[in-house]
Amino acid sequence: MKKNMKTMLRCSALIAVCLAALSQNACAVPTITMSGGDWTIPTIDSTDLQAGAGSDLVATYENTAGAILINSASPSGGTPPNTYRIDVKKVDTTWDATFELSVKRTGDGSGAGSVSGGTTYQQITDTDAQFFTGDLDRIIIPLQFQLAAVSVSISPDSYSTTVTFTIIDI
Amino acid sequence: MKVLKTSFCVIVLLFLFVSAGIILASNTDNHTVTVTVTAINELEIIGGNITLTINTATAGSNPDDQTDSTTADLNWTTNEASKKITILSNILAASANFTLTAEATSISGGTATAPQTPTTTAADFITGVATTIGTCDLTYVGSATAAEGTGSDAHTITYTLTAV
Repeated sequence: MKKNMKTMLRCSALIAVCLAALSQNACAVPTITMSGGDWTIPTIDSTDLQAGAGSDLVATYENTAGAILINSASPSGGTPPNTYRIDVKKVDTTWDATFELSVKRTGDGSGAGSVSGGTTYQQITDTDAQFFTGDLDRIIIPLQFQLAAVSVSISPDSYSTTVTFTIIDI
Repeated sequence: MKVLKTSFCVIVLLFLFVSAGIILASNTDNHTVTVTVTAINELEIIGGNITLTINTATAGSNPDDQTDSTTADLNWTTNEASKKITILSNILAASANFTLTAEATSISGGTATAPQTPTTTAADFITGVATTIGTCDLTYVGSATAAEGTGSDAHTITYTLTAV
């Protein structure tokens, strides 16, 4: 009986140590959330021709600045100065290689920390690239997206790509 | 010993659950960008109507042809492949008093066919049109012989951007 109690105590201690370690790791992972939904560009048709027949399509489309937001949180228990990097990439479902999709940050958001970089349009590619950096918690960081290089050389179809933001502790 | 085994299992399970929780804690988020492009096939005649007046001749010859290639242009835009532009008139060529021909000149965005005598059956006017913007001058030539006398033909010419 006494031996069992001793074993139980040992196990409990082991569990506590593991949970503490996991908790420490959990805190060290910065988090990111987006709000504002997806960006569906209004259907591009003949009304988008620059000057009717004989002209090309309007090449560039933008969403409303700030319609899509990022909230970033640094690891509260992490090692100061609690800085992080946010990368961006896209994963195409159906996409035309001619399209140039870009994103920029149109504001700093709010919160205890600060953000830096990413204020000019950056083309989103299929591989992660640094978008901006920050420290501590920032919320409602406004973004703006731009689709460029639209032309009549792109065949009629419905195209979509998924833009992924990743926050990395640095 | 049994307690130890049970405890070990509990630890492992807890570890897996919490680890999964950390992964799901999400250091990524995403959204979708969707673009829909519809079929675009636009064609437009730029410029006014054409009037060709045949009123000169060299003695001993038929009247001089009259040509206009500056009044009207044809513009088109398509984002589809395998297109052509056809021409037709509301007057059957054989019923016309005089001869009218039309040709696409100074063309871009397609290939002009030889000069066409428009009639009530559509004929190819420009071929090789695909995912492009294009333009050309519309060059009309009116011809008459002395034997055809005087009079006038008023053609309504229709150009159509259509599938090959």
